Amino acid sequence: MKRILFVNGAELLTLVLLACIPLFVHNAYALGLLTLLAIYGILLIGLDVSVGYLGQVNLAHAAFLGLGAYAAGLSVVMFGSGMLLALAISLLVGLVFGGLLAFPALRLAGPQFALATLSFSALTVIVLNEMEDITQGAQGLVVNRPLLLGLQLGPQEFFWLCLLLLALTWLAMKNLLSSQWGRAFEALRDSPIATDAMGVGVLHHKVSAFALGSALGGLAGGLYAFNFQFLQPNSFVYELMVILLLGVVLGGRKSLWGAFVGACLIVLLPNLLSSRVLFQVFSAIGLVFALVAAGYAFRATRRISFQSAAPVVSMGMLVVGSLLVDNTEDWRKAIFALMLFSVVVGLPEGLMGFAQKHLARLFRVPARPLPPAAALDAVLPKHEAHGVLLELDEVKRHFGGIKAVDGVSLQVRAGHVHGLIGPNGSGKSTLVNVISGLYAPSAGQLKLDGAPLPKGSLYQVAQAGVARTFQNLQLFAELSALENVMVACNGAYKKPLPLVLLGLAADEERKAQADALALLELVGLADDARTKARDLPYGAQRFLEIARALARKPRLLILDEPAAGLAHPDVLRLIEIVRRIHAQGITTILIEHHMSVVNEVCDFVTVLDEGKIIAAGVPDEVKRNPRVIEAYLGDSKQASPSSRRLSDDVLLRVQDLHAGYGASEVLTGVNFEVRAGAVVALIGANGAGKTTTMRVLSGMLKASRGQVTLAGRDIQELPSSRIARLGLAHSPEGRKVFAPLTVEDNLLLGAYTRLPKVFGFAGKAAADLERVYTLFPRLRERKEQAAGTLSGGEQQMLAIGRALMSDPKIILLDEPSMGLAPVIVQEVFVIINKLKQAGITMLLVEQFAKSALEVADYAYVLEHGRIALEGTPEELAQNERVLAAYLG
Amino acid sequence: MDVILQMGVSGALMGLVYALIAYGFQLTFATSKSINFGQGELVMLSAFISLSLLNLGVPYWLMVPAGLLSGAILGLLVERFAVRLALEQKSEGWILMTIILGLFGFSAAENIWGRDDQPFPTPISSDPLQFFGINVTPVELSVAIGVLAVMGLVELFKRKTLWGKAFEAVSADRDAAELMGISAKRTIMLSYGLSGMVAAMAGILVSPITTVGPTMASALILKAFSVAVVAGLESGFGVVLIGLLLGALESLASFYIGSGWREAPGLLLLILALAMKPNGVFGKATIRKV
Repeated sequence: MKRILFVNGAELLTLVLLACIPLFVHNAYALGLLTLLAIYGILLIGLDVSVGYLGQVNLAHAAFLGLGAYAAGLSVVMFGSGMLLALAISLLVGLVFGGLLAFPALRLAGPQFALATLSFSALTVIVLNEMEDITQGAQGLVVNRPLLLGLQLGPQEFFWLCLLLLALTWLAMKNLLSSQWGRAFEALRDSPIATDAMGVGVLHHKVSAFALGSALGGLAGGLYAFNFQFLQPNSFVYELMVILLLGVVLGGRKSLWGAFVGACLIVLLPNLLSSRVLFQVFSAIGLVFALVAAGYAFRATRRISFQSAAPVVSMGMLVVGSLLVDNTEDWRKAIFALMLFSVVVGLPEGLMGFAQKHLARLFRVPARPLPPAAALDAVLPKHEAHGVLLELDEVKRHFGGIKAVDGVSLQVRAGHVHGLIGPNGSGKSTLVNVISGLYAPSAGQLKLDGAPLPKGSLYQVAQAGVARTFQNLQLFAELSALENVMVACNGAYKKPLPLVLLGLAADEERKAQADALALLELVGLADDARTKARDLPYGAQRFLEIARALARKPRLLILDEPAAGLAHPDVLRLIEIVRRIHAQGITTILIEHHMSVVNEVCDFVTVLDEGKIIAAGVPDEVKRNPRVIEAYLGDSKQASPSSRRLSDDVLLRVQDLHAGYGASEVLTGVNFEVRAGAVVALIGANGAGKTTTMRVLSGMLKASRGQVTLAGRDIQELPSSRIARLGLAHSPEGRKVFAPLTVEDNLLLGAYTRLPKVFGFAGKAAADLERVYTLFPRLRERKEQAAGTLSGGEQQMLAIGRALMSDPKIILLDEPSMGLAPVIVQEVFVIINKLKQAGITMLLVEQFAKSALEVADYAYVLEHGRIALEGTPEELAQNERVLAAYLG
Repeated sequence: MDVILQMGVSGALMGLVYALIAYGFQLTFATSKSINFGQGELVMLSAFISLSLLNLGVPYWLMVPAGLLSGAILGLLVERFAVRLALEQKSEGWILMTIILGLFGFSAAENIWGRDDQPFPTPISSDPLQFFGINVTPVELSVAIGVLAVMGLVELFKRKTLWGKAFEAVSADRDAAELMGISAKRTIMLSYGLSGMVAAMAGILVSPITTVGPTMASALILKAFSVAVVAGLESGFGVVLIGLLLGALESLASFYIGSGWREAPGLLLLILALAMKPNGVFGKATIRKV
């Protein structure tokens, strides 16, 4: 009830008020403004579809206004069509041209899209100007307002027509945006990859959305033509476009009210500028606003940020300008610019975004109640499963020379939970990316239930019945948990678009809600149905992705490292969820590093290493397989008894270190130290937090708590480049050499902080270069070659050499063996040993625990973001828990 | 035939100016994946500043470095006020912000220097010289030489100094560059400064031909965008080639179809290229990652 009163009441009241004004105010000028307001309202609602919902900077909307205006005008001038027909034509022209532009342009992102639309509008103005035979070119086209069903409309009636169309547009957009269409628009802005993977189809939704927005632009153009009754191509240029963007951004994106407020502003703006006193008053109000906001921000953070200072400065410029300048009209564009600047920086959600937040707090309109959840068996009918569901035959995927997946053949039996494990870089993720269609296989066959699986298209594979989650979460962050699931609801929406626009699809909406709720219950998130995905805790986000994938009613579900980053209680919940999915008879492929999860839930396990299958069987069998143990721990040799005496100086000390990515906390209190001259190894299973620790040490990731000291100095707050200058060199995971630069340039950049920047750096670096080349003769041979063309092992040597060039106090070596063939791994460790003999302090992160223990003086074992164990290599090599940390 | 050649050659020489502006886009795109949508206003403002310097009696050859300096400063302002915040927030807000800043610059120029086009004096003669039956003026030649010289110098800087190598390192792998002690923030500033300088050079070179006025760059910039997108935002060689081609094409289009259609080939070429090779003819395809 309250909802109807406040939400619909406000809309109705505004409409009635606007409609009544001409009855009381008989002023031709005011009526003109009102008509323009209605027209701009439609125009901006259309623009908001691409700018707000799709999140693209669209610079072609003024052109669609022009095209619509000319289409309507010319249909009247040349064919004598009536008002309705002319308006329908203008709408259609917007729709068709919008669709045509969208097809190529929407494959682009960011600047390219903006450039394409900008060029389209420039081209439109040229064509309208130059096709003089038809459009009269720059002279202008006179259009007489045609009859509406035989009636001649006066200004007042025409205003009502425009207002009526605005109301209809409003209603239709409201219905559309709250339907699965609106959700899809927002989904594809937040994650195009997940939108495709959920079988929703990015391209056709994007094109439809853009065409729809353009159609509204065209319609507004038709009304524009009959309002002014005179058209010139130069009315539709870039400047108008900027004003329209001003309207949408100032009013507030993703909001019908925002578009309306924006329209009011741009209609009133010229009047505001024509009176100096009025302008002074308004700019003063703006300045006060900016000052108050800056004051609040300062009280909260005690810092003057760009975001609060810049609006004050630009509003201040406006106030000073309003006092100094004689003719504000001359400075119109600069005034627009200053206003836009303040809003974009200081109030990125626009006036309505800001107001809505506060209004919602004041009135507390309760949301519509949700229907009761459907029965789970109705949403996910139980399958009795037999035989083989998925079959891979010699599947390969190569990236350039790297064979990420190199001939994998496997069968996944229906109803099984099939585990896929292997050390880092073994090709697991690439393999599921091939199955789910993100990558096309370089060779090989994939069959689902006997039928070939589409290749290289997420969308088509999703349509074939495969659903997946993502290792790096791909949620629709701005949508609620319920909406996230509803986006993916398979087969729930059958009503055609016109019925949706008329608001006649409510029953299927409620059905979808009920289904989605059932799935949220399954993963234990029913109480968070209304929470925005990005506000959920990290574990809940992982579970939400599972619920969303289940909404596809998949034949095959792929879970890509669902336990990554989960705290222990959440891991237990995950196991429970997978069991319940298993009970519904859904076939699942599970990629996982947590061996405990794999042991608990998998019926069958396949182990990958270097892109090939090295073992397969039930979990217990596999984890005792010596090849598997070797793949995880490295070649089994004796840990070298280290009898070196270590110095007492602690070079690097880490205390109570906490860090993570967004909501996920990876490190939960890490403590360790590295003494000068020592080689310290940090070992542990994948996902234990080794690389995260390294990233925090070198400043690539900020710690949320804790302390890091390098030679007595706190460094946890410093940016990477400063830490590097203090003498910490990090040879990162994945090597990260500068691929287009030569080997020698890579090495020179390693010494960047110590060399002159313009002249003479080559001479000064010569000795260090010589040292590195002596250590790595192969790099000398290839010094003129681009680093990207080196082999993996050579790149690793380059990365180490580059770190040496800075003559560091300590080198962090992150996974130097990753993705390398065994013989190359040995070579790398020979080098590390040489560096050790030379007395270089090193912190070594390595998944091959045994190789690491061979060279280390001391080692720490990380488990779930904490140090679980520490000791000398001899002590650890005997310890059963080390193996357990890897293989459960 | 002679006419076609004549139109083609003088068009192509103008095309080099588009290439130079497009090169400015590449510089900032390399380090920060952003470009200045108000680059045209930068060209125009630097041209006005240079003209004012000349009017104050500064000799031409002293004006050139001063004008370049002003361009670099303007570029740094763009980076500070329009780009940095958006990059920190990892948003595409810089598109809108650079448009806004350009609008402000445009309005300021209109009010400070007036709306009328003004001639830009140059000591270089515009009496045509004959090469194989084609007329080329020394001014046109100076444009070509200037463009190639500036691009050559910037490339030399990128390859032969450690700063330049750092610039390349940031564009190849920003995180790894930070690990070497290279500040990505400063490198982005440097790229905006260079880009502004390049824009100023374009303004100084083209002004004697187009005259100086607030709208002088609006057509130029559209075509520079086309060149940048068609060639891709990575290859300096590509922009020169596409710039020459586009310049020749548009000069022929305006001769054979009508002067109002001058801009059309560039825009069509751009939309076509986007439809078929979204990363540009000389661009590299990217691998999607999840």
